[in-house]
Amino acid sequence: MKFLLVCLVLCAPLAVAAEPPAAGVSGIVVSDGWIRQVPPVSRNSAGYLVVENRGAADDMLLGASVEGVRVTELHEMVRKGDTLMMQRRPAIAVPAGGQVALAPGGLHLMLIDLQRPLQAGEKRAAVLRFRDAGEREVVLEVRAPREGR
Amino acid sequence: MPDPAPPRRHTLRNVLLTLLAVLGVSLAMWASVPPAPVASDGPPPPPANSLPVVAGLGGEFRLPATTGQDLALSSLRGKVVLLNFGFTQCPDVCPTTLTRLGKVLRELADDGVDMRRVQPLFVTFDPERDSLPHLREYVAYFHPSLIGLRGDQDQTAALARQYKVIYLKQDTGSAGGYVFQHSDFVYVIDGWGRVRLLVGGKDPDVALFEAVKRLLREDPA
Ligand SMILES: [Cu+2]
Repeated sequence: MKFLLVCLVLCAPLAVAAEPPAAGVSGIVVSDGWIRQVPPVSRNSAGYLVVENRGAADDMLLGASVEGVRVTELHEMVRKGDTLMMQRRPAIAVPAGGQVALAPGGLHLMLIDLQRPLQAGEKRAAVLRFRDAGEREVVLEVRAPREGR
Repeated sequence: MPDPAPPRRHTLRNVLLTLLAVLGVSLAMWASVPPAPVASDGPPPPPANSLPVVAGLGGEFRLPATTGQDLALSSLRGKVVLLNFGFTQCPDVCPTTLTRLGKVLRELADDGVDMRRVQPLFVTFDPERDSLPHLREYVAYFHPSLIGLRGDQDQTAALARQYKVIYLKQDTGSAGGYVFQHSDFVYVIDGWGRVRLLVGGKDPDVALFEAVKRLLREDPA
């Protein structure tokens, strides 16, 4: 019981730390970060999150790195007629006062070469690199996509 | 299955084959396909109020399967087949389609459907990187009844032409290697092996659910 209490006290701030978005001086706020849970045999997955720019100047997401992943790239799924195509993006613009959602079927962090399998509920540290806001540390939770999407 | 070979080796042939497939689709879209004549001893025409047969695509195939044996569509007579194409290194679209397929299969089971009469299939168009053992582990994650199929490059291209599946190998300069631009339909096939519906990524899950139930009702085992 005592152990449980200690654990609750110790773990609670961790769990909370991932949630409330913290705006830096630049006004970039990152929230709702997650990684798609994939079959253990898969070598690739995708990361999703929402970037909000509460500042007065446009910014750009230039890249990211994720714990336990060899290479992370910025990608976008593009629909062309009846087909879908994955394209690499050099950067993703985050306009002042606007927000950009990286979500299934569209923009994503492409996670290439998972160095260990993703466990459901696991939290992976990630660093996002912005042109002006610099580096931002975020936490991405591994989870199964809701109802497929 | 050797490790990922340099992607360029088959690129030209793939592009040519896929161009052929694309051409096939365009032709099918412009030509009006007359209804297939039904032999008196052949499959019964679908009921008037049910899903019509999708003309101009589909048909028999036989490919090596994750069951360890070749699988022929004709061996699945009497079952509703849900046929889907993709590649396992696809990080976004294919897992989304397979996740929804798994969800619909579980919903059908919960609804009391005899799941021995429903067979989901996943065909890889990346035999270069998707070995059968790899494919087996991959599909099992989404639903235990899913069977993976893996032909060689020629078999894959032939099946794609037959079903008017578009897949185009693309090198985007990603560290992950080549990817495919591809269509993402689930083909709903009736107990006679005829395609009755194409369900796209934007269609609701219930379209898939309802189509299976409808075809099972039409053709009681
Ligand atoms: Cu990607």
